[in-house]
Amino acid sequence: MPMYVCSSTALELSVVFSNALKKQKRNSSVGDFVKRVLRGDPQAVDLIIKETQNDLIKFCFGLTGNMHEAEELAQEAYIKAFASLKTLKEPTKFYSWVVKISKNIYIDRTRSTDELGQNRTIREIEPGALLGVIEDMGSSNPEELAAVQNVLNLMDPDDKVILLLAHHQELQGPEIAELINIQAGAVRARLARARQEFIRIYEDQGE
Amino acid sequence: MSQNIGMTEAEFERLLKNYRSVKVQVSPFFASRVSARVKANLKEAAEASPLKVVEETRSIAKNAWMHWLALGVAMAGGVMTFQKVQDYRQSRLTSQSSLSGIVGIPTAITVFGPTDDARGAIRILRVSIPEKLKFHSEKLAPLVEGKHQIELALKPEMTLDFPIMVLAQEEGEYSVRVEYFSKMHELLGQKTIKIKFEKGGK
Repeated sequence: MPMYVCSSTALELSVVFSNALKKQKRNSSVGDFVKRVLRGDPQAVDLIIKETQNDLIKFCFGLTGNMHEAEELAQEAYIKAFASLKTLKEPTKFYSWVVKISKNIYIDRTRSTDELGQNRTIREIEPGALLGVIEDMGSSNPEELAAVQNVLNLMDPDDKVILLLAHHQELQGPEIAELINIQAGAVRARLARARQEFIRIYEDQGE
Repeated sequence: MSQNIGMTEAEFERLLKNYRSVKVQVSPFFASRVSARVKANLKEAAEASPLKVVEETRSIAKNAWMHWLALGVAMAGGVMTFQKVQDYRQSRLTSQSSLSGIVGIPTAITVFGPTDDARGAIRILRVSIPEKLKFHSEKLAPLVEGKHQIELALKPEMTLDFPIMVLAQEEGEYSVRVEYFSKMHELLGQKTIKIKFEKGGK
């Protein structure tokens, strides 16, 4: 039994390590492409988008719960990012920068909808609907994934963002703090609140 | 935390881990669609100086009615101003005015979504192709099969660019017409794209 625990922990650690390496490699390639764009190479725009689009759209899908809105949100974020690319101090941070931009656009849109007194459209997602937009369901079951997306759709936008940054984009406390402009020490408490909110809605939905 | 509510920490982690493992299927056209727009925006930024008057007009124009009023005011300042605005609007209707393709292989035309000033005013996009061309879309096959004209309804908040695939069975040069209409079917802009299809390989 101890052997099992050890190998399982080792496996998880190796997955975490491998993911971190992949992210580092991606950020480094994207950093090089950003420098090429700044030198006037328009082909590098395509390379940056191709390198980051899957992760960004996945994040946007988590926020919006709708593929068309996710693509539109990602598109707007890319356009804003490229329009002010010269202001990006560290090219290797392009991806987290574009995530931050998409998060800001999403929060602004949600707030302006709320200010106008319009109710946000909250669509319940049927498990079958996910099959059309999700390439690989892996070993997960569609009912459960649809339930998670439905809970995310019902969450407060700020709570949803922090939950996705931590559990979906696998970012660490200091990175999250930088992205949502809060003190690093406050991330843990905000995350705990978001988790609690997620669990509350998930259990309410199940009743 | 989890003890108070019921779900265990492990169960929460498992749910979110499964959710994270899902791969979203990104449209194969997404990168080209965005980068066409990015490049147009970068080009626009580079040409900002001669188009300053247009930008000023756009900033005044909060809706279509205001936009046309602003154009009228701009016209009073000189016909050239109006021409610049027209040229500018025209240039944003499609990304290409001519392109080439290979017989038997679907070719994509990227049609820009409305610019901010036109958003809300433009509600219908119509694409017309000659008899010898076919619309091609695996996803929308039942909707485009056998048609030579398609109309897409645009929501006011829509900014996406539209990739439209066409397929030729014979060599030749074909014209594709793209038109933008208001909700009341008033023509707001149009552009013709020439596509030259050649046989691929030898």
